[in-house]
Amino acid sequence: MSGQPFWTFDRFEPGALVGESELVLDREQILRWKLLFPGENEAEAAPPGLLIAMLMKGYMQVIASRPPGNVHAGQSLRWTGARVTEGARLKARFHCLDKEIRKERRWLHLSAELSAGGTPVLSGEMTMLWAA
Amino acid sequence: MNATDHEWPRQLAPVSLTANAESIALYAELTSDFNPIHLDAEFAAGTPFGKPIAHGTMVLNLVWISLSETFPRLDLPWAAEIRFLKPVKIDDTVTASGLLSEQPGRYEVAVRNEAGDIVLAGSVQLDAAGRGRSEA
Repeated sequence: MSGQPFWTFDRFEPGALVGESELVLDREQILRWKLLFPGENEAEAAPPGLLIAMLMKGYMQVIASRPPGNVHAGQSLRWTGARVTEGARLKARFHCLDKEIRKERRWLHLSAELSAGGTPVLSGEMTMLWAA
Repeated sequence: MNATDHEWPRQLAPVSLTANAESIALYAELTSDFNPIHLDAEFAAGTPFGKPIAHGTMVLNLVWISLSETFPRLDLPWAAEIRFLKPVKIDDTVTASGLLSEQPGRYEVAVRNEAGDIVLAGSVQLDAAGRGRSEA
């Protein structure tokens, strides 16, 4: 994408905001989720897994241009229990917590937050092996 | 009620998923993660995986389904620590399970493939009082 930074390992700055993305939990997303996990049809509020998928969508938007071959090695997550329903406007936010090269591998630690209308929904840390 | 008062089931309900091409494609649409390692058999054949692999958080969702099947009226905050250990290859069937640990409301969770390999592992702390993980 033109104008998007290319996120090499060197580009990440510990402590710095990586970016934010705004998303909408629309009907199309909900229907995709119901096709994928039919057993979760009943709840009116979005289940945690769908919210995590939205957080990952936000990640893909914020770090849109990145080297191929990155590995998502670990994840911590905290769910507040906040109910999020169809049409909710979400915000995904990512900071670089830390990075290090260990045994010739590039380890990157990002914080991730998802909120709905200013209400915290999910937060956590992503541990990534960055390819370049 | 706090976490120590609640009676916690010893095991979480097992939940399985077959990571077929359709499910991987749907998850790619959901997350906008169209990495060819997930979707392109020819591309994946040239990688160490040999085949397309499922998105890690799609497999992780089995843990939340397992929790919601065990606790049908679950509306508790929770905290989780997860490690992605092995890729789940296309058409693999994986199963999530969990065992109650010594700490009230804490489950050691895992997702295993049909060969019994652990593909994902970690822990989930449920907080019955909604006071947050640090107070559990």
